[in-house]
Amino acid sequence: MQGCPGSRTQSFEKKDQEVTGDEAGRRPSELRQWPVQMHLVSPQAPYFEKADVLLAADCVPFAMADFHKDFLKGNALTIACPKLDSNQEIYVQKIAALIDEASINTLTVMIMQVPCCGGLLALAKDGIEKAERKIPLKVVVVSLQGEVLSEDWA
Amino acid sequence: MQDFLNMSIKEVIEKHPGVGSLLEEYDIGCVPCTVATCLLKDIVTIHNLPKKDEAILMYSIEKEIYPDRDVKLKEVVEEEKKEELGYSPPMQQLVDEHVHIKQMIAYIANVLELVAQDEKIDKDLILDVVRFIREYADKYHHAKEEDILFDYTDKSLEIINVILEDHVTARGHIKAVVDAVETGNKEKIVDHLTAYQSLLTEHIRKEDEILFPWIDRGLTTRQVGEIYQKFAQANQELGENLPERNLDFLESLNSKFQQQHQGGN
Ligand SMILES: [Fe+2]
Ligand SMILES: [Fe+2]
Repeated sequence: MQGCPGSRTQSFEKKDQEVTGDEAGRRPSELRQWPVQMHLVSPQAPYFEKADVLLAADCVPFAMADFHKDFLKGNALTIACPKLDSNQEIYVQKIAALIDEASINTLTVMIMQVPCCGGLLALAKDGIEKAERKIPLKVVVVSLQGEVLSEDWA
Repeated sequence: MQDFLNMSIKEVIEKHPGVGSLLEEYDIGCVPCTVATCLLKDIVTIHNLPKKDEAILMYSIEKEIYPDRDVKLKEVVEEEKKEELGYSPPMQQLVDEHVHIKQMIAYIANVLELVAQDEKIDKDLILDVVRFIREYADKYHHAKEEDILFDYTDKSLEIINVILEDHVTARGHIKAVVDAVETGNKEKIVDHLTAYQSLLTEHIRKEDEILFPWIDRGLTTRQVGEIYQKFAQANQELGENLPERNLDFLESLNSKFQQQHQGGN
């Protein structure tokens, strides 16, 4: 019996001699807005207007060291957890409003590889279905250790 | 069953512990999950099992919940595994339009057969084919490539020049067909329609297999969104009616030539 893969306990051994990436220098945050949590953001906020929007599962930025540089840069952000958040019907309406009212350019959904995270994609698709305008949707799946497992247009 | 599909997995397993064991058989480990608020229907779809396994699992769950019911196992056709090219949405649109243009290219073979057989030239039919090519393949499709998509490439590149030249050559063949219909020159009609067929077949293959994947690799997400909106606007400016009437015409050719073949020709 292995349990729900979304909440199964695991540790990742990091060996000292392993190449750990470039630690030199500092990078500025690429976040250009506040708030970010989906219940808190307003689709009418100016930073969503015609933006490329990233909808990330809560765990994604923690798993991925280069989230800011590789994915957040240049985009508007909102985050949510499809497993734990309540009132997700509001999320669907907000996604539809982002498309129709804020006229966003694209939506990229970033989720963890655990199966329950697929719920966020389902939610995004519901929002797109509800909206009158059509926009391109991209899906990025991230492993527990922060690698990009797939990046596809849906 | 619908009631159970919309129930949280926690409630379902409380009522029917056997469902938990079934899920575990498919490595869907909801039993020890402390949250377990996912709905049964979502759990099954999200785990994205092979269609056949999903059908068997749903059958077994229903059997577990309603042991006395005559449950039918859903028949599943094995999906064909096709090579995933992963076009971006605007590129996918162009590739989908190619499918219709390729259908027309196939019907041109039937048209050529008719021209060879009949003593009189069916001018209306040939001019209808010309209209499809001018409206759908050229005004609707090639225009999006030339006026929108190629702006996102380096237009001095050889590959773009070759593609643009193909469009010009194709227009020339169609113009020649119209002239030949006017003068009743059968041979010229056949020559230019045949040339159009082979030019466009090769042209579409180049775009689908080489040009579009290559352009896609160079586009940012922002650009993909922009192209998508510009395509939508270009289509809107031409009106919904344009693709509709042309696809209807394709459909009519389909029944025309099918009947003809069934009629023993
Ligand atoms: Fe073309
Ligand atoms: Fe094309």
